[in-house]
Amino acid sequence: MASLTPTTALGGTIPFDETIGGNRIREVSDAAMASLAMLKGQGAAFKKAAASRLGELPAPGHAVGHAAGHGGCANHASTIWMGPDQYLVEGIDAATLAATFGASAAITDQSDAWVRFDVTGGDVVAMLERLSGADTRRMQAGSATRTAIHHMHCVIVCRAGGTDFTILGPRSSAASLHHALVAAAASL
Amino acid sequence: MTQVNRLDGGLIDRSTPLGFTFDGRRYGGFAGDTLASALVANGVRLVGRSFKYHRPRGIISAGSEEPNGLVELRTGARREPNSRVTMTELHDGLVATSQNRFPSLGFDLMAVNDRLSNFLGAGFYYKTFMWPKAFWERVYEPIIRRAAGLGALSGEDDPDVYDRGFRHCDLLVIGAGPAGLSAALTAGRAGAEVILVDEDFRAGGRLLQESFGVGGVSGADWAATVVAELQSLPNVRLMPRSTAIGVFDHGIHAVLERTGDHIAAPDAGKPRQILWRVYARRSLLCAGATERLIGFADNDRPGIMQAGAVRGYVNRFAATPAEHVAVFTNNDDGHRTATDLAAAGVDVAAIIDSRPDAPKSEVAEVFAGAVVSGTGGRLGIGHVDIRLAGGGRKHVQCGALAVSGGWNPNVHLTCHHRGRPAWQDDICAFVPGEGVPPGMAVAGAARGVFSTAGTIGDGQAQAIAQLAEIGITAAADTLPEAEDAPVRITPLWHVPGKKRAWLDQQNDVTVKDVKLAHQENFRAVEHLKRYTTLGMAGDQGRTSNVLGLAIMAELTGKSIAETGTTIYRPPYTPTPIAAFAGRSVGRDFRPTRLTPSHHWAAEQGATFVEAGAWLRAQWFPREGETHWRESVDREVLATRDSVGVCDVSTLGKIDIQGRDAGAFLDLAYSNTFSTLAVGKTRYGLMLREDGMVMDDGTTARLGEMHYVMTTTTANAGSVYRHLEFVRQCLRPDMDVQLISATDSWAQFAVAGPNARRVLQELVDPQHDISNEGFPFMACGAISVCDGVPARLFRISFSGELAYEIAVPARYGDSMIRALMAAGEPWGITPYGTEALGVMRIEKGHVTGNELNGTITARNLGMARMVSAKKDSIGAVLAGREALVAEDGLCLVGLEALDDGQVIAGSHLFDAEGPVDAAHDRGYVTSAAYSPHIGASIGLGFITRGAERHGEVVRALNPLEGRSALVRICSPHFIDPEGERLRG
Repeated sequence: MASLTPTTALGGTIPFDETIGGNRIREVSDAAMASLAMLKGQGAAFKKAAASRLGELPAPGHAVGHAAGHGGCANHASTIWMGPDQYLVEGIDAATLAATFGASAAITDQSDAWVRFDVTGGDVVAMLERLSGADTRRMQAGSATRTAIHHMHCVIVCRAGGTDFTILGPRSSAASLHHALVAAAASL
Repeated sequence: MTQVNRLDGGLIDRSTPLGFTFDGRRYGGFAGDTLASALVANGVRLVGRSFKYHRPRGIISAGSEEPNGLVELRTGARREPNSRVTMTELHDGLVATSQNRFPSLGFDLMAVNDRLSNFLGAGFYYKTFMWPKAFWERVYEPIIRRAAGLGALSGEDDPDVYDRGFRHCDLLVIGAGPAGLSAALTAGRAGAEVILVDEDFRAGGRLLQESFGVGGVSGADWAATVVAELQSLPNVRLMPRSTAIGVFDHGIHAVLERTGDHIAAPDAGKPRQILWRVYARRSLLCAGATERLIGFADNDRPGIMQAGAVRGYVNRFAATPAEHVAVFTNNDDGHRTATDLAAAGVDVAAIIDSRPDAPKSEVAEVFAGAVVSGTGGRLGIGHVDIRLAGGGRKHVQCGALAVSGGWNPNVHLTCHHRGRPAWQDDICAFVPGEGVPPGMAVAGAARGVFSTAGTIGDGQAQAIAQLAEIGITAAADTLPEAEDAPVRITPLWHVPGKKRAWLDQQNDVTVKDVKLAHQENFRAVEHLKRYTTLGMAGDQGRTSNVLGLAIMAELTGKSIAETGTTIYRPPYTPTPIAAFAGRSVGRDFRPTRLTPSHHWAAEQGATFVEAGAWLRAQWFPREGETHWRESVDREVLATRDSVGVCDVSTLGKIDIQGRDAGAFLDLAYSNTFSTLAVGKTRYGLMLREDGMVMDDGTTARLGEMHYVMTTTTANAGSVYRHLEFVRQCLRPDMDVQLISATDSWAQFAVAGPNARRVLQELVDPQHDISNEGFPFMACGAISVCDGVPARLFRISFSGELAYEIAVPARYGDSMIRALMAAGEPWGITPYGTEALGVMRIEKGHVTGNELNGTITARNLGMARMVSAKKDSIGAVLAGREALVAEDGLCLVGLEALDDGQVIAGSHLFDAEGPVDAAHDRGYVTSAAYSPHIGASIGLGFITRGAERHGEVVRALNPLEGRSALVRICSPHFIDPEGERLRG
């Protein structure tokens, strides 16, 4: 029986990791991600399950860290607000979430839907200003927003104000997003 | 090389000398010079030839309103025409060339146009070149078009890179003159997030050009002190070399920052310019004012300048336009120019003040109540003719004439939302009126407050008011002392006379043209503008608009207030189109989506096709194949003969969950899905509200409350958007959640008689994919290759025994390689979109070609798929009388006769009879060569198609003059009973 080996969103086996100017752009390919959406009339059960597994649920424009489940990157595991009663959960695989939430939520595995780049350094906001209309200068740890980067639907999560951000983009456009990030970093 | 007109002092940096070239001659300047000031310092008066008449022209201003000083900058691919010398920062090695002259500036053959001026007035091409009619397109238009324009593009691709950017602030201050600096300081000290933009490379605005003091120090020093404090505040961002070019909705302002124009060339990867979108909660327009000239005979000779610009060259750039300068003014400002010139040691030849009560001057003779009635000089002014108050004449020699006709507040941005400025009589100027963009206020000269003390105070007051509106309290700190002179002006728009007097120097529009427009009844300002082209050049009439409409007002007997202005629109100053494009150029115009097997396909040498944003393999040429048909025919034959594999990841996949998922699908699809068993898929037809088919696909039920819908590649986004609209807006009561799963899964179609054998090599043994265990239209979650989660769907687009196997996208590359290895014993063949297309046409499966937005389920022969037992979107309107007519269009197959070719887009006509719209029976939607049938086939729609099988009709392409005979047949060319599918 053949065995399958995974590739990163950029199509390689080693995640992209490069420092350009003052900013480091690092592809993160081993993060589990799942979508979580409350089903109608299931508020009580949903909130109970959320409290037990995720702690606090984020308000619009925010992400809240939680203790990581298996399959996640330990440092950055948070629940990201995506829409009314809709969240993107990092660091917990879909099966574990499904076991917790049962019939109170619609859950899908999002680990392969996104490409993730973590951008760190002294100049990150200057770089993000070339990419997105989100007010990244004001974002602090726990700010997160959906946004467009070069016509791609993305999510920006602030890990530390001014210096540490995660950018999620559609996996199929990984090469285009990568190009946009590298060009922005190089143009400062 | 010596700078003959250089003075002492100024704000230039003499420790950094710079060299530049103009029209091939080398000159010297200093850091802090603009190209304009360096030319002035070098005594270069002649810089261009005018647009229509090729009259010699010189620099008239020191700012972005410059209409004459337009040159080509740089060489090679970076060469840019129509660059204003006043806005070009001097750098070492700068190369500039004059435009619109042949063979040279000094001797321009096209100056003959000036002799023909009677034939070239406003609207000339509606009058002069009308006969003979045939000559217009063939002779006159090409000649006029070649003669038109000023500078020429390089013709090469722009090698520079442009960025777009986004910034947010509480207060955007536009303009860093006294009003803007004062406002930014007030707001910055209050802790507000402030962005201060100015088009100049140095903050200070008119303070840099005047000799006024502020708070006991020079204006320039005061500005520098304020800038230093602003730079120390982390909440303030200064953006020099940045022009606010437009005001848009929701507080969004466009600001063009020139990051690479003041150096020889930007470093690799660095942008030349950045177009910023600034989201401002409030904005304060401190854009200052532009000085007017006065119309008089031959008022366009090189050396005639705005009086304020002369002060600017003297005070900021230490350059005088000439040794002997005369002044013509209708207000007190002209006298300031005389004073500053004299203080710099320049001779003031005369002060011609049109006001009978003109003040005396200590530095020159004042001719009160006099006007300039003409000028003389070759390639530049040599003397002015003065008509004295008493009627006498005087002749004064001079090398430059400083003209002051009053100041026009730069209200432009206040009008970008169709606002109209208001006329203020006491200053003879338009000030911001109704319709200022929401959130914007105006301070200083931009709203008619002209004194230095006035602007500084106004900037502070307006900033405080703007911040108060957003809940920020700012302090009114003590203001520095500054001059506070009132405006004393007596209007004089033009000096009547026979000879031409210029208004719009860039478009060569004269007072005579305005009179002509009036005479020909183009009297409304919008007509005046377009008939004469006054104000339509790159300077948007900044030095001419008000003069033109004031003269029209005189002619019509209306007041200026009644006459009004035309609309100002973005961009405020000329902006390269590349700046709007930013990085979205060429291949990067929009993002590209790659399938999980893309790299593998590229390794195989596949030819790719753009399918929306996706790149899809179109065919996989093999060694020795020279034509795409060879590859495609081979792929089709191999798949139907044995087994083929195709990446179908691009089709939209929408995950649908919830208690009402089934009911939701019953509403969105015309047929029923709530009755679909778990573990089954079903073909679905999706209608628009008007009954037309929007999309089709298969939807799989993976669980009680869990479905996965597929859509066509092209409609993935629009179907998802539509479903969200249904969910959120039409039926918010339903319990259903949606999310796109398109990118998550790598999905491959494995098709052909050996498809199952290949898959059995990879599907984990506990999953039964035999015909009994996994019949046609089954679906389910399985695992492959020792536990990798997967989904299997037994659906077939090709019409062969087929499955679609999906694995998480990260395994897509590995999966295609595994499939190829597993299929090797059966000669597995990768096939692309072309072969996919041939096979689906052979089976009569419809795609976007057929679902063109005008086709109904009935046209497709699928009327019964619109369930009568339940409501669904589109069901009602699909029953409209015209749509259920007996002789409506019907989907048919078409086979070409006699080795002919079916061509998609052809229209169908009876074998005999007229060819016109009334006899048009239908059209061809898809066509391909079928290697199995051995002929060109296609799908199309024809009236009463079901009854016409066997009939021969004509397929016509009149545009290309082509015609083919085609036989109507069933759209199911191969295996019409569908036996292969079910094996």
